[in-house]
Order: sequence, then C-alpha cells, then structure tokens
Amino acid sequence: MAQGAMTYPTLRIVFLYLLLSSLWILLSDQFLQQYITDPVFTDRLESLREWSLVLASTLVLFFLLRRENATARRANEILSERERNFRMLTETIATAIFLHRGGRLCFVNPKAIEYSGYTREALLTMDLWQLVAPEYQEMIKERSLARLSNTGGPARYELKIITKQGSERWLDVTADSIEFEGSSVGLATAYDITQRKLAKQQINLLNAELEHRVVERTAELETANTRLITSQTSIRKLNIELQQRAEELQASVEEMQAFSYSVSHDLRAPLRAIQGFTQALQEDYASQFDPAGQDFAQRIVTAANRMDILIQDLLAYSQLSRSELNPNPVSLAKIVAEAIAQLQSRIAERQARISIIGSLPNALGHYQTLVQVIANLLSNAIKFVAPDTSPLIQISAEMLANKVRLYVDDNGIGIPAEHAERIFKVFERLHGIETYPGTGIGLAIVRKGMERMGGRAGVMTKENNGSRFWIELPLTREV
Amino acid sequence: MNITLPTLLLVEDDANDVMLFRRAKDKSNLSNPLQVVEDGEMAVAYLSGQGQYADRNRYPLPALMLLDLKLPRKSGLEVLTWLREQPGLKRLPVVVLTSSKESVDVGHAYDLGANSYLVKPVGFDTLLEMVKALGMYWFILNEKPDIQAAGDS
Repeated sequence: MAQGAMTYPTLRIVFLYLLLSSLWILLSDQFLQQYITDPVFTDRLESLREWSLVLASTLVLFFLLRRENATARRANEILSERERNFRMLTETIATAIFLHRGGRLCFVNPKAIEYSGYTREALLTMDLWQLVAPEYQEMIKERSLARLSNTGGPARYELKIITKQGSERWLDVTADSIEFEGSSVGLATAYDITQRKLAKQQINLLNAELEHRVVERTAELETANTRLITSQTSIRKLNIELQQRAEELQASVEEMQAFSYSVSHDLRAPLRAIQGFTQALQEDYASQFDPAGQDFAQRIVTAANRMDILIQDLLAYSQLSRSELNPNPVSLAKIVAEAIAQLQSRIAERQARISIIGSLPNALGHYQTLVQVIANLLSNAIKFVAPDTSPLIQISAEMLANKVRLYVDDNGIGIPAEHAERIFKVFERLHGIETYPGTGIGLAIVRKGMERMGGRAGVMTKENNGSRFWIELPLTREV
Repeated sequence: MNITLPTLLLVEDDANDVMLFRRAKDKSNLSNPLQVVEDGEMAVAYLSGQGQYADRNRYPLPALMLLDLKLPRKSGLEVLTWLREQPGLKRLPVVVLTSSKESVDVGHAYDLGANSYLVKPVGFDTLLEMVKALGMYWFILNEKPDIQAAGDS
C-alpha cells in the first residue's frame, strides 16, 4: 500500500511534465513558422521560447509537487490519526487483545497485560501458550497455528490462564487472524469470566452437595421406613401376643371364678357341719363334758366361725377384682346411712357415736361397693378402740377439684405412720387376733374397691389420737 | 289328728346339712312334715309323682320347696326352670337355700322364678332363727296358692 502510493504521483508528475513540454515545443514551433518571417526576430524569439519553457516547466513542477506534497501530508495525517485511534481503542477497551506471529506475541494491550500480570516487555518475548494453563496448552498451540494457515472465521472458547503471580484466571477467548504490519498474525481477544466460572463452580458444588444431601436424606428415610416396617411387624407380633395373653388371662379369670364359686359352696359346707354338730354336742351332751371339754367345743365353734368370715371376706375381695363396677351418680349421704344401718347391732353393742359433719355431696361410684367400703371403714373405727372407750366417729366431706374426699375420723388406737400403707394390703394385720379379731381383708377391700371405681383411699396418721381414713371419688365423668 | 299340716320339701344332697336342718326344725317347733330328696332328678320325680312318689298319701305335694342350687344329676336352677313350666305346679313357692352368695346365682334364681333366696348360715343359732322365720312366714303369714299335680283334677 505504501509503495503503490509513492509510484502513482511520481508517474503523474513525469507524465504531466512530458505533456506540457511537448505541447509547448509543438505549439511554439508552429506559431513561429506561421506568424514570424523575420529571421533575426525569429532567432530572438527562439531564445525567449527556450527560457520560457524552462520557466513554465519550473512553475508547473512547483505546483504539481506542492499539490502532491499536500496529498502525501494529508495521507500521513489520516494514517497517524488511525494509529492514534487504534492505540486509544486498544488501550481503553475492556477486552484483552493479543496478537501473535506463529505463537510469539507481537502486540498486547493494557488489559492483556493486566490479565497476565507480566510486563509488556516480558510478554513480547513469550509465546501465547506459555500463558495458558498446562491442560489447554496443546489445544491452543494446534488451533492458533492452524488458524494462521487457513481462514475458518473466528473461533470461540473458554480457557484458563496462569498469571505471573501463579493464580488462575478464566478467559472467554475469540481467536481470528488479521493483517498486521504487512503480514498475517493471530488475533486473540479475551475477557475475564473468572467470576462467572467461580459462581458456576459454586453452583455446581452446591448442586452436588444438594444432590448428596438428597441421597443422604433418601437413605435416612429408607432406613426410617425399614425401621417403621420392622416396628409395625413387631407391634403386630406384640398384638398377637397380647391377644394370647388376654385370652390366657380370660381363661384364668374364668378358672378363678369357678374356683371361688367352688370355694363359696364346698368349703363352707364342712364348716357348717363342724359348727353345727359341735353346738349340738354342747347342747345335747353338755352333762358329759367337763369344763375343759366344753372349752374345747367352744374353741371349735369359734374357729369355724372365724374361718367362715375369712372365706366370705376373701370371696368379697376376689369378686371386687373380677366384676365390672360401672360408676353412676350416687348420694354419699344415702350410702353412709345404709352402711350405718348394716352395722346397727355392732354400733349398739359398742355404744358407738357416729356424727356426720356438714352435708355429704353426690359423687360417681358403684352403690353396693361404696356401701361395703364405708361399712368396712366404720366397722374398723368401732373395732380398733382402746378397751373401756366408746367409739366416737365423725364423717365429713371435702370438695376438691372435680373430686370429693370423704373423711372418717375416729378416737381409736391410731396407726403408726410406718404402717399407713401396709394396712391396705390383703391379710396385713397389726394386732393379734385375740386383741382385735379380724381377717385382714377389710381395708384391702376398701382400697381395691376405690381403685376399681377410679378413686383412691388412704389414712392420715395421728398417733394416740385416733386415725383419719379417707376415700376419694370423682365428681363427674372424665371426658 | 285329722288336720294334716302342709308338707315342706327339702332338696339337699349334703347329709350333714339335712341333719342340721332337721335339728333346727325340731328345735323351732315347726311341726309341718318334712320330705327330703337328694338330687334334682328326684325333686322332679317327687313333684311330678313318678315312681315311688306316685303315692300322694306318703309323698304329698309340698306347700313350700327349699331348693339347694348345687345338686347332683340336675341342678337347682334346672329344677326351677322345669317347675315353672308345669301348668299345675308352677305357682309352688320356692325358697332357694344354698351356700352361694354369688350375685350371678342370685340373679339367675330370681329370673327363673324363685320366691326367695337364702344363704345357709354357718352358725347353728343363725340357722335356727332362719327356720323359725321360714315357718312363720311361709306357713302362717303367707297365703298359699292352689297347687295341683299333673293329672289331678
């Protein structure tokens, strides 16, 4: 391009000079031949003509050269303007530009310097692929060399470079080839996509983690499921066992029922015979007994009677454990009155005084069982008093939250605190049978009966000053 | 003595209980004749006049039956069931006299038409009181229904 521009004006100037001087010679010759006849004048004119030619040629040359100079200057200005623009563009653009000849870098812009971390001088002594991370070097070498030999249009790829400081930087690269300073060079423009890559890596990482967690959770869920199935199986097994137990229990309850039925019938028959015939002996053959014999007979009667009471109490206790006690609203006043009526003869015998303090409310309970419970409590209160003391008994009620508590206070011999729980167990007795006769079942019936009705029973000890027994019943049905 | 007192039929398999009952009856001056059968089948035979019991002079229809529940061959409750289905006999007053105080038995007996339910006392004095009360109530105070054996007109 530069050579072509230099040849063209030179030829034009030569050509114009040739044309003008030839025309001048031809036209002046013709004019002199036609209009000038005087030879002397012709000679003078001849000389003038040659000087004029020189003058005219000089003038023409001057103007032509000046014009050409102006054109050349103008072209130079445009060129340097382009050069300036090119520099400004490459220096301010946010894209890195690398030019290379067969790999060796021949131009880099400031962005490219910034990206690589090397100085311009260092870069211009390096090959393009020296910048690239090892895993991309072969690819870049092949592609950029191939690109120089054939024109396949721009190619675009992402790659990683290693900066001078050793850090990694991801670039989005567009590779092409251009003419530069008269020869074909490789062009690589690039912009930094490290942030995007990092974000993407982060996303990939998070995705992988998420996937991992999903897998983990799924596994956990499966384990839980397996466990659930196992527990369901064992629950089913337990249910079957439970049912078997219930059936066994039912069978043993039925056996127990048959047993107590048999006891109530068969065990008492011999007792009746022992008691009845001993008494017959006492009545019909009294004269043949000495006092010791009569004492023996009396002991047989007493023992048989005691055994009968024992059997009856045991039966009452076992019946309480077996039967359904459906609680209904009952009047405690009526129940206490019936229990007192049942004990009338004993109350009269011991000259006991029973007083009811305040009014007694209604509660939820089983009528007959409650009568039995209260009769047992009253009977104990009458029985367990010091000799020569008349029993004084007070019955009162206290309302609690959704419950009522009935107290039976006595002036009896009291119960030591350490025995307060023991006395509610079957067959527990604190006193010899001679002092206070009994079977040891009365309070067991009280507690069992209360428990069966959803209530409680207990005793507050006040040694040497009687005892305070209490029973507790619900006031209303629990929802 | 022309006046024959109404008969008392005791259905009881325990010989001891029978002896004690006789003693209590004698002691309580209850002079009504006492007939005893030992099991449920014999009770049915007696009441329907079968076999040896066909002789109503020797084995007159009772005015009251004392019935134990636990009996050989046929239980007291079965006898009661049978009795209440007999057109001529079904009004015969029946007092259950048994060892059992099981509430199931008590309920059953009343359901089947027992007129009273007594538990045999262990103490003889109590038995004596009971027999006296029985005689007073069922033979003196109580108005007796008509009883006819099957086939009687």
